[in-house]
Amino acid sequence: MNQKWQKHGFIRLLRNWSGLLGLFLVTVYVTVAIFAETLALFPPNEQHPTDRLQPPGPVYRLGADEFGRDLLSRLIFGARNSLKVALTSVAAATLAGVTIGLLAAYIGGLSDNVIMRVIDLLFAFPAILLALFIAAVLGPGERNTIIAIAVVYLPIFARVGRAAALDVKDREFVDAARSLGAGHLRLIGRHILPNATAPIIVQVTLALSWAILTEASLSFLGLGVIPPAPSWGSMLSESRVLMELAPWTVIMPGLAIMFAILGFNLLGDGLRDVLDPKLQ
Amino acid sequence: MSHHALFRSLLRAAALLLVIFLLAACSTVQPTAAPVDAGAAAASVTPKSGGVLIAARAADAKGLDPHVQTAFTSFRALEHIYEPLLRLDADMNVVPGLAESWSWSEDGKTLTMALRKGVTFHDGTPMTADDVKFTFERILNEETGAAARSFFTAIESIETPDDATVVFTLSAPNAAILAAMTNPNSGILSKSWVEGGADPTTGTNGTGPFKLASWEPDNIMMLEANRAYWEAGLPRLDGIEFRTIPDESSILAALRSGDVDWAIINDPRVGMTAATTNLTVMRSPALAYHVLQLNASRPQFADQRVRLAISCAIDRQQVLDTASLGEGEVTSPATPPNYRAPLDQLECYTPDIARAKQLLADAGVSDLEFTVIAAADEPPTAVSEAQNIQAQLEAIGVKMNIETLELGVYVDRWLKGDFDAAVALNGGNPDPDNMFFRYWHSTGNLNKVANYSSPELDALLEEARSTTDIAKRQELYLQIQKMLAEAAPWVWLYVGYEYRVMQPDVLGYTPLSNGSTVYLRETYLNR
Repeated sequence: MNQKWQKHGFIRLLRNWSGLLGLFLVTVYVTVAIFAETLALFPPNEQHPTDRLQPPGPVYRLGADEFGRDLLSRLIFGARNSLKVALTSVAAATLAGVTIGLLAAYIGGLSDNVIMRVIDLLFAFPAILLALFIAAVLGPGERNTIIAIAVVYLPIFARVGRAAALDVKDREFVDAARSLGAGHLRLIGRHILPNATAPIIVQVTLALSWAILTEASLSFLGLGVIPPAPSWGSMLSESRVLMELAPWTVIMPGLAIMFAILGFNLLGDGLRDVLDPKLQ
Repeated sequence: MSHHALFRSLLRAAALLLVIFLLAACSTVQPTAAPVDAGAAAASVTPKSGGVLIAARAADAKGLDPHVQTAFTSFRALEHIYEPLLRLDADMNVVPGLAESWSWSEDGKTLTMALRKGVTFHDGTPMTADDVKFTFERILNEETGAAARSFFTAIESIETPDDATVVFTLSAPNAAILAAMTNPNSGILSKSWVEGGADPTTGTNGTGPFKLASWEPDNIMMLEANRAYWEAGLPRLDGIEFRTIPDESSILAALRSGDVDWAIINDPRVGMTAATTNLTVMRSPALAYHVLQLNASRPQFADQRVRLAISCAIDRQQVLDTASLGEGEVTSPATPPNYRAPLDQLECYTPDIARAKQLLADAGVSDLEFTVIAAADEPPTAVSEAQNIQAQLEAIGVKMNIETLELGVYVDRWLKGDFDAAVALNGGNPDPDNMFFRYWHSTGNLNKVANYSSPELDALLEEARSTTDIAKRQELYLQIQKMLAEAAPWVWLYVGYEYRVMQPDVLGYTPLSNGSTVYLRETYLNR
């Protein structure tokens, strides 16, 4: 995969309307998360009890919650929290998963079998159930949420890595490199891994959206971030009984989750259209 | 699922969400109608008889044995089937029930009770003094595992001179025993029924206005009217169908659609939403109280000045306003209305940041940090209370971490006293002795949860327990409350409201602040 091809792919992504919309939503989300301090009008945990449940207005742009905390500021810092958790957990899942998958395929034989059966075992659990189980055992908190999500999405990356490696490991160019004296690490790193990048990129984008959703779900159930740290899921959970008295406290975090996930899904979909050779 | 299918279903879900949110935004209602406060039931209609009331609550009864059950949800069912000797009126005063009258001996050690005549159990046998004696002996028998046993340990012997008289002889004067005799956990069981081999954990046979017709746990409990009930004209209903609907928002939805006639609501936010509808909402300050428990046995809180500083720093009204949307009242340590201390006589009930800082400085504490435990959903306001207290304590430079726990884990750690601090909703009692003794007397069964006692407090609690004169007792409990507020082992916050929400044509119900629903016996359907 060379620079020119990548550039070409990017231009084609821009021509794909849903991919473009996804890219836009993701860019907004990442920008908001990075510049949270600059964008937020209030510290996210600052309480103004006299202004509790203020509807959206000039001071509290998206309204205030039951503690009189500015909803917009909490959503902005919530974006940072969910991005942080999603990125870290998906990075960990990718790193570990792809390594395991590549090694399994490269070594082959019994080790491959044993490794992949363990991965299958993890795969057998519905994702949210496994995440709940891990989070419940480890207890709430950001670090534990990251571990839970990473473990849940690791098998997918192992599969992707293994499939790509199986595809090319017996090809002539690999044999050629080997007969030129390339070591195992060089073979895997320089010759096999690059062939797996396209599916991995697509998978990472999609996994990010699942990770955001899983983080929100865990926080909704009280197993995610520790209050009062802002998380979209816990904001939704805390305010669901206020649906009628103060609907904005429920609608805003709900919309935030929806747009973030939609963004990553559209982007992932667009990337797949562009990167998958079978669809070209 | 292929990516395309996933994408399509996501889009569909997104569209659906959007529609739901927009609908919700359109139907926004502002809280305008004020809920009816306790005792303001319409009385202009002549009560009607007949009909089955469909009642809902979030959790079902946990069992049937009236002496063993401790869950509030069990009381709410069993109190219609079994009756204790005495009743409470709306002001939490003890009034006659199965016992028509009672008298104390001069030394306060002998209690003579005259039983009501013509009372029968559901199986048709008459209730006599033998059944009362049998009941209290069963409660006092440790093998029963009776929840109310500790209230009655002062009973030395029970005599039954005739079928309608019971004489209790006590080892020491104990005025709180009367209030304990109103507890659902001291309901009268039939001696012949139990000795005949019946099992009170699987069957029922009480004297109450309703009898158990059928029960599918966690689904439906059917009660039917006891037509031989001793109180003339009662019950008015033909029966009550108790449905278990686990989520209070769903209960409210069922009330609005007319599927349910009457319901118990605990979440203030649901109660407030109900008040915006045409449903009748009755609320009364609860006896159960929200409290921040500080553990004096932990190094952070060994110094009384540190605990008092926390108490001074917390604006209790603000905790109530944010966590419970102002639905409740700031409370003194005792919650029964006739024993509450005037708040201005209690140390630190007026928030004073400067004083709190001074107290911390006097104690030589500069960077206090501790962790509070809170159950995730019980009560629904616990985590919110913790969040507000955390923000308030920041103002005096105290760092409070919040640890949310699943209820089972929370209860385990709470019972072991394994916490720096805990946000709790503790059950109240119509009698302050039953509220205080178990926590604050050095021999109390929950003293290791409270982790604080003093010889002065012990002496006062013992004196108050043996005093039968109401005015003198009130004076003693005022003193006890002042001592507790100053020692500040706990920061008593507020009492919420108990909500009973019903259709406008459900009349004749009176809410009680101990949560009891016994007035369903007088309730009728005006339709």
